[in-house]
Amino acid sequence: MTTPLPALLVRLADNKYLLGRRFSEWSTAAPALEAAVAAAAMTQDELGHARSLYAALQSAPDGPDAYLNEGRRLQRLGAPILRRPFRHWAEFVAAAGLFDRAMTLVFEAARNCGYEPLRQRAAKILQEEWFHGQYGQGWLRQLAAGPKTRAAMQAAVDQFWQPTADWLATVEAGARAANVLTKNTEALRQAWLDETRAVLSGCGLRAP
Amino acid sequence: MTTPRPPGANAGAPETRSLWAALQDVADPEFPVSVVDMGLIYGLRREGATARVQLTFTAMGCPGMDFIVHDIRARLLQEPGISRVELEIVWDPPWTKNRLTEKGRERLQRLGMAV
Repeated sequence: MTTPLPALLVRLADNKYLLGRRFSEWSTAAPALEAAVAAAAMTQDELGHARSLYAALQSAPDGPDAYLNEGRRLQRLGAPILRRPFRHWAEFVAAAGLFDRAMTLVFEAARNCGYEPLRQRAAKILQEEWFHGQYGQGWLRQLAAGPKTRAAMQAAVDQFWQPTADWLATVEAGARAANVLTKNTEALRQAWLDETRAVLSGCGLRAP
Repeated sequence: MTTPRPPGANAGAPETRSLWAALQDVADPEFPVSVVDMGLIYGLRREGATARVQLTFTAMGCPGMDFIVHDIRARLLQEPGISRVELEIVWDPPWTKNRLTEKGRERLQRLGMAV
């Protein structure tokens, strides 16, 4: 991986793909019918984002051959925490509220990217992710408020916290300097930390 | 980029108007509403024997994308003098229900959709 733009596109696409896979596993297992439908809709969105980002990679300048075809790539850049099924609905909620939100912050920073295919996709992804954010936070508050679910929600937050922060630390990789993103690693991380701490505090959960 | 409005069959040069009219025949796979009245067409013009289409979708994960692209291409190729169709997928500005034409909105409302 030699240049920031293809590196960023692959990193975003791989994680969107994995998140879609994980969400899909709850489309028949969520705690309520409406939640299952939402999981299916969110799956469709995430896989659509991934598909579109892989397509953008095809036209990215300086895209290394080894990364242009998702099927041929041996190395995927998905976060380890997304590589195994979620064991509890609270992990779905933490993935939506923490990890998915972190990815959305990256797209916010790509909204004025000089590479039009990414800039255009960012606009649509941000539109669709607004609903994911609302949904994730709604469930976060609901599980945090339940005496029987609060511990599971806190455990899921604890589980996703550091991997999400670590992922944000790797995602920028020169993209700010190349004018692909408007924020550097530290600014992205700080924005995510500030926002997430406020959300957790608002529903009585502890930020690790 | 400003929000484009679908100009419909009465706008533009005569040769472009026929293309807009042709796309009225192409229905969204999920609703009996044309891609024009759904507001999916962001741009349409004729350059010689080529029809150039700027198109969006309601969602990035829209399962009907390939159907829509296929149907638009097939219908425009039926137009006299058109032998090539170039499609460009556009995501900005994102589609919202404000892009529906009045006809599209009325039809969806008759089907019970809240638009």
